[in-house]
Amino acid sequence: MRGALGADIRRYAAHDPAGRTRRQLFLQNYGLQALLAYRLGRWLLRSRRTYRCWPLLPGGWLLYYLLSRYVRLAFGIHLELSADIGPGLYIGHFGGIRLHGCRIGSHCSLGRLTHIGPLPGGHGPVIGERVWIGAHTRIVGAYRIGADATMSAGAVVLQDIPDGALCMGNPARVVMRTYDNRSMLGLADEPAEADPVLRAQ
Amino acid sequence: MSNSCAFGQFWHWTAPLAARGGWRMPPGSQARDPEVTIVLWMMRQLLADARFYQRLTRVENGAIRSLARTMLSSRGLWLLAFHRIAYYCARRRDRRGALWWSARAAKGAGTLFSVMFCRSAFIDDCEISGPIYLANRGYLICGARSIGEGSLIHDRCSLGYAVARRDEGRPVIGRNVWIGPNCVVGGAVTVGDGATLLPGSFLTYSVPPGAVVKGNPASIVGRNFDNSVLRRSLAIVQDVVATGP
Repeated sequence: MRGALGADIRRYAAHDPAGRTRRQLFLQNYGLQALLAYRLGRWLLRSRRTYRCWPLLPGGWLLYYLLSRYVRLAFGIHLELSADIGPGLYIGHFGGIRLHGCRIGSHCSLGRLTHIGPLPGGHGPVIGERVWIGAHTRIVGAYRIGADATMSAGAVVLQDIPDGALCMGNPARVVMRTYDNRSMLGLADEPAEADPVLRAQ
Repeated sequence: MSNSCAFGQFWHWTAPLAARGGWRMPPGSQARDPEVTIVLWMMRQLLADARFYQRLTRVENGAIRSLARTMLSSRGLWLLAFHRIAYYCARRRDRRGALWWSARAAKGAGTLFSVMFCRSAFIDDCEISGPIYLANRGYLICGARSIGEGSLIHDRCSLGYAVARRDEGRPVIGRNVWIGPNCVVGGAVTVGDGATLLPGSFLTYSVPPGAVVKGNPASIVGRNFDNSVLRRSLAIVQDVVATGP
């Protein structure tokens, strides 16, 4: 948990123009509070298997319940524990965010009013690393979204999206095959040698 | 109340204070203190906003709710009131008196209040010239540069949101614009006076006055449309919401 939450904090600190400290970020940023509740819940789920952690579980679940209820009621950020979110998620704005039953890679950005989840009875979407997901995006169903892809605001995804593509519209169409979203993600100074598409540019 | 007390005109008197080198009374004002004038104009503006809401939220038989009931039940009106205070704070940083600090305290509480109860956020220095309607259902984020008077903005809208690039400009919304639910306006875009954004449209370019915009990505489907019927009451959206899309 500490590693994933640490990556979240680094994303938020990179996006923060005022240069606030970690404590200020936790107190003032609702996205980070939502992620804290989510990471705590995932850690509690994992630590069920460890006998030494059992004394912590009742208090931990109570804390998780209170935190997640607060975040869901006050800000409408529903990060359910069935979602598998990689380290370093950045939630830009509050309101109407619903993530459940999906897998999201590391260092993604999430806009507001997004709904990512499975169709009833089906599998959820699998989203790669460093994907920028704009506001009003809906990814419902078992679709694969490649690494470094960019979902424009309002994209309603009804097909698989290749790596590094920019897609927009309803239904979402791939507008560009190679689209550099590193400056949007705030990751411009990090090396991109892991990705062949970006290395080719 | 006529539109002569619109906030935009008020700021034309107060904003270039530093350039003119001192406070000058608005013509016809009886108040001695500039801060008293500001409070008076603010209250008149809020009253005009409440009247505007009162006209819009007619019940089915045409009866009008009382003003107090409108003020208590309209969460969009609370958001608008807090935005007026935040706008005052943002524009009057040069004069930090007792009124400014109390308004700053109210703004700090009001931002949290509008996030938690109105489910909406407004950028501080968005200039709203006159009464507008903001949706009571919330989920509205507004980063516009200015919004003209008489505009209707419904729920689940994002104005001034980066659609696929970062640090895009801020839109300018004209007067008497009707923006339906679930709309996005991105970038440095000018929405002309009297334009209509149908529900679910994602606008990334400027549209002329009177245009009708629809779709994702947006396309102009009509020109010189008179949307005064749409702006007469909120019943049309409530019917759509009740019967389903």
